[in-house]
Amino acid sequence: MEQFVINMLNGLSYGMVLFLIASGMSIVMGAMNITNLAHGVLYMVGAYVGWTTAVKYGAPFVIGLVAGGLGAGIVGLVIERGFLRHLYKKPNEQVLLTFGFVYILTNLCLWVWGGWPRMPFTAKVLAGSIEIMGKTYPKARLATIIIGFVLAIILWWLQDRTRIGAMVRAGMDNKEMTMGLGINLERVFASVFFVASCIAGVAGVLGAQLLGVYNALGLEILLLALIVIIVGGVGSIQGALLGGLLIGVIDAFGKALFPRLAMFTMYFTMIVVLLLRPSGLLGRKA
Amino acid sequence: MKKTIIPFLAIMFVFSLNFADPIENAVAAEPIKVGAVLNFTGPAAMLGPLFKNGIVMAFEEHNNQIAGRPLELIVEDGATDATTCLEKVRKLVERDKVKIIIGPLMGDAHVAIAPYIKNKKVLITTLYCGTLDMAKDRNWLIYPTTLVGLTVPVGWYAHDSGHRTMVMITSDYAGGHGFMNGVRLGFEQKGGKIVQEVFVPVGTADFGPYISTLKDADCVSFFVPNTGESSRLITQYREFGVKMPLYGTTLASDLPEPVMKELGDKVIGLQGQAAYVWSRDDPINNKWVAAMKKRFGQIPGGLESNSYAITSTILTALESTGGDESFDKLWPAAVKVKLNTPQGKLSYTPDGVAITDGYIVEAKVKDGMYVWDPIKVYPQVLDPRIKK
Repeated sequence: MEQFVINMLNGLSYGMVLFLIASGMSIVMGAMNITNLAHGVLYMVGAYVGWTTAVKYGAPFVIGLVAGGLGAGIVGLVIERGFLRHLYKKPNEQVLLTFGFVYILTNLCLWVWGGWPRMPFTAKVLAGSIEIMGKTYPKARLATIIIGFVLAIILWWLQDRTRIGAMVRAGMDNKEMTMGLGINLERVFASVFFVASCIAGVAGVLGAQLLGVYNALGLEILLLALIVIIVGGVGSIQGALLGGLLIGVIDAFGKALFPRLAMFTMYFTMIVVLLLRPSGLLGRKA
Repeated sequence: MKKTIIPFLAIMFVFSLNFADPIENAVAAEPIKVGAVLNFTGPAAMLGPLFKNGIVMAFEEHNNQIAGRPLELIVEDGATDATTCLEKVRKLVERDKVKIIIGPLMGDAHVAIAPYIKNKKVLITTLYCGTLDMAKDRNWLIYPTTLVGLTVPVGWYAHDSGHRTMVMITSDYAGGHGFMNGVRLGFEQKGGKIVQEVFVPVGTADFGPYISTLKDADCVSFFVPNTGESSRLITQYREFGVKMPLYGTTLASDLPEPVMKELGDKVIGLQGQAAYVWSRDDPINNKWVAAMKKRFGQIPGGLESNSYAITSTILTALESTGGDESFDKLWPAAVKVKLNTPQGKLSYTPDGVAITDGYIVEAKVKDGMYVWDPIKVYPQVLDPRIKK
């Protein structure tokens, strides 16, 4: 039983990181119809900025979270305002541009932070472990689960219960009608892109508690985010949450029960979902 | 007119024969080109500059020339990718006409380039071990030794420390299997028993699920590639409160001092294998460490030591051939090289496998610095599968 609980906690903590990575990308895809392949490197930028703030300069971990979120948000805003806004409704150009930013930002990070990976870091209060059913379990992982759920509720509230959320959803469903109502969709989209980039940055710092940060992280994370979005569905916080947790739990149990098939389990899940529900488990239908 | 020109040309010719500056002659001589395929981009991007430092130091110790011929180093970025490495090797051989190549690092790149290199009769070196199969080609200098030869002392040492059962965590690729086969061979040679082997994919981000399934044993040994994975595994192993002693492989190169400092207490007490330890008190090593620190501004580690020893081998062999880099002359000279390197005594088998000392190290804090402290030396270790 205790083994089951530990595996479940492992899955939930990893799943929460996956949810945070995928949620921002999913909203951008749903709201703006933009496939932002640079989302993974925004996660990495956030993690590096968080590391610099919290580890190098010794600021509290919460400040690292804020700095990481803002750092990635600003970079994201520059990408959207400077380049992407000229490429709305041009999916091929968007993919090429954002993939180009993967390499540009990866090399900039290499230049600024060097090639050596940075170790996992967390708040002092979250360092160490506690006993759960006689097994030692890291506090940082439990904190990741809790923080992830809190952020999921905030994002759901923003999307489904606020005026700005209603504007975003209206823009997803009918852009022309929404603009006809006098809503400045361009400003809304820029805000959505900024918030999505901030979430990626916060996810980077939270994820660094488990994974640390290193130069190849941007591309690795991008792949995971795409799997979660395919499973959960595009354009909804609930979908990203379900997809992230499902993939996280399946990955954890797969590693524990069938270690040599560990790389296969999450892809298998994705294939099954694609076959049964091509729009994802909770994706917004066109 | 003709009468004037002929004596003038004759005088010029005589002068050119007798009075030319010998140094200018050397500069004008055809350079000896040495290619190097190192990683400056991709997941192992941080390793390329360190390997390059070791090569440059060896070149500079020879004043960048051998037998009056200047040495020319042509460095290519392998991008931590086997296909790119093959492209760069082809470029070095076909366009730059090199007959000597240092690197690449990874086993998949070795497999990709081996047939081509053998066919072209190029002398090539590994940067950090190679398989025993490669030795059959007789054109690879395999340094510091084979994968198995490098880690077999870990198995011996774990048994000598009183452990009789072991769990192994093995990165699931050819190199990972090779390193951990060495640990297994050493441990079982002495009568130990492996009770579980956990295979983890390359690039594993979260080791938690694997760690929570480890069976009870006297100790755990591991190999996962590169700094990122090693440090994540150690961090998560400690966080999950596993009490079994942990033995690592390739420690000093995967976890250099700055990384140890960031890992802090989590790394203290960790024991395992290292090919080179900068803090080993030895006159040759101390002199080299001081020179490297002066030249590059940082304490060298196993990567610089490896590329330095490999390059020194090649340059010593070139000296003995009088600067002739043709494969048929250079290969026999290279495998006969005997050197005292910062790592210790170095020689080669006729197949090109290096014979070096094997070190067991422990992570400690000394004078406020995190260091790998050598606690046992296994002299002149050779892969047990090779007959001396």
